[in-house]
Amino acid sequence: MIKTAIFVEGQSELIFTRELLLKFFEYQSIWIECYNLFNDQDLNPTEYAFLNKDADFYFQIMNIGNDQKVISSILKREKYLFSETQGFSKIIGLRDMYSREYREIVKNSNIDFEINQKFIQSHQETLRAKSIYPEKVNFHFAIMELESWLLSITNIFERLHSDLSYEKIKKSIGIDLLNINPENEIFHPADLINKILRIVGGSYDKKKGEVNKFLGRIERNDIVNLLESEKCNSFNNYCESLSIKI
Amino acid sequence: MKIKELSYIDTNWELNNLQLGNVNLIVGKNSTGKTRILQTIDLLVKMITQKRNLNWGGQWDVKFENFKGEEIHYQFSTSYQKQGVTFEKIFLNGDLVLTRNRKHYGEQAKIKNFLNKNLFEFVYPPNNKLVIHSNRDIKKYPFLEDIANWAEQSYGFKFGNISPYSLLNQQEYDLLTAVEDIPTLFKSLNNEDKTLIVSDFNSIGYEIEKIILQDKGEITIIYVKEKGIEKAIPHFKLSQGMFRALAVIVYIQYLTSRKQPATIIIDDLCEGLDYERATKLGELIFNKCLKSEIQLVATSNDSFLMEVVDLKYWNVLTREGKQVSGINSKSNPEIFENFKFTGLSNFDFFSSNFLKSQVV
Repeated sequence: MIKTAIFVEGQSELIFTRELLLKFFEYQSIWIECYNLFNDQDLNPTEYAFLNKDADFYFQIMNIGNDQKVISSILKREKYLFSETQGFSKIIGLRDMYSREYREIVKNSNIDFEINQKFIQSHQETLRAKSIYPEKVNFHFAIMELESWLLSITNIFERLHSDLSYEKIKKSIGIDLLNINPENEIFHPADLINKILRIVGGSYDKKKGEVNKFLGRIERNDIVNLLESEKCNSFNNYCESLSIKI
Repeated sequence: MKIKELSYIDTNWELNNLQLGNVNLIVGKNSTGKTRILQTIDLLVKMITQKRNLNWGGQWDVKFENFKGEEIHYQFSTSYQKQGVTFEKIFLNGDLVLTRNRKHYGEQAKIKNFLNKNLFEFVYPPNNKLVIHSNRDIKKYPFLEDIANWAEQSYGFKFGNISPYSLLNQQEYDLLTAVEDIPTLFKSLNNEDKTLIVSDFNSIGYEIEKIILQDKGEITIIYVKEKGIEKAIPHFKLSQGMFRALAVIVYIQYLTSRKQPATIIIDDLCEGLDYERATKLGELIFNKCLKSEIQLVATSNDSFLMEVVDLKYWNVLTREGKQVSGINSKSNPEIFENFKFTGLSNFDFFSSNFLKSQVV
């Protein structure tokens, strides 16, 4: 069994990763356990586990609950996870690029590709300098948030509500979702999703129910299509680390 | 009025240009001088308020900012051999307003009189007193009044020493002019403030319904009624962590309710509290002080607290021999800016070798 630990910054990243894995692998040969690890000490299982002791792939997803602590938590636990008794072969980290620090640095609501690159490189340098097994740790940013990836899934909003066609969204908030790459153009994707859902009286605030509702509409084909599209390179990179390949 | 910058030298210890903001978290490895800094502020307050004599050697250089945004730069030296003050200078927004030098001018000091066309006049303070001790006048020397008020409105204590059995100003390790005990402070508040205390206390993870006061002779006891527990518990029977958290919340509320500028220093803030209480109490105190005119100077090595206090409020102490310096986002902005990109947590800023790799 190949064991992978995934450290994510929040609940929506945990749910997204779990659904991504389950749907891509079609619930076959996969075992997922999910935990909250909020203060580096208390590791508590959450309700999202999918047990399959005969699986070939085991994924342990840990919600750190703090974008600033994803790397720190990996560094604190890597020795234990890579030990012979635990036998993990890979650790993956995921956080959003959109953060308080990012907003402080850019000082406006625009994506700065140089700043993105600096964040990515500095995180890699941190791992190279501090990890005991840097070659076994992959760190990823969802640019700007994992909601960019949701925004890129074809017809996702229309599946949520028949009134949310691309035309209607364009007319209501002036964004042509079909023809943009959200990764390059949407500074705060979760906020855009909220605006789109408000057209039909809904909302999106990264709450568990809202994220689940969204992800419940996503099928394996959506993942394949997104991987094959020109959109959201950060999604492809994350999937590659998760061994999700077409 | 708040301290903006503090330097101090004596034969054993030297603090170089410690820059302070409205709220401050001073962190540093053991024996770098965290507590010593608070003791230095404590000493300054006690010298200005005449609770400590001046017949020993030290050099002070303190920059204050008063409520008008003016900088008051106060320098003075004391000597053991000369039994008192040897030198004093005050600059107001860079202009000299007071000068005294026993070596050159003997006992006289020159001070600017703001009532008399800003002319300098001579005063003759005793050797063992600062000019401020013998020349208080709010119209003539408003800058002296600012300094005196700052000292009189400064408070502090060591978090780990808070106990229902000792008054805050009677601790073995006393800091500044902490007043009265917690029940008496609570009693002095109005109902709105008392309700706010219950709400603040619940916001850090406790579940209490109300706090009740009861006078027994000369002693005031506060009873804490927890949800789901029939009997209210007297303050001296609360758990240590619960009492300390309550004490700090009452104290901060007492200071904010007066709507006057004040300084509060707390040594080892949140020491011994669990994760939830430490982080929530830390956030609460910093936010309350930020919203009020209270300058907070806290020290801590508590990893939980460090995670929730923004790095822009930090001073990381470094010591080389007897020289202590603080690294902060104003003195070394590039270090703090670079750190944001690393993905490491606040505590790593302190505990990892990141700082060492950045400081030349």
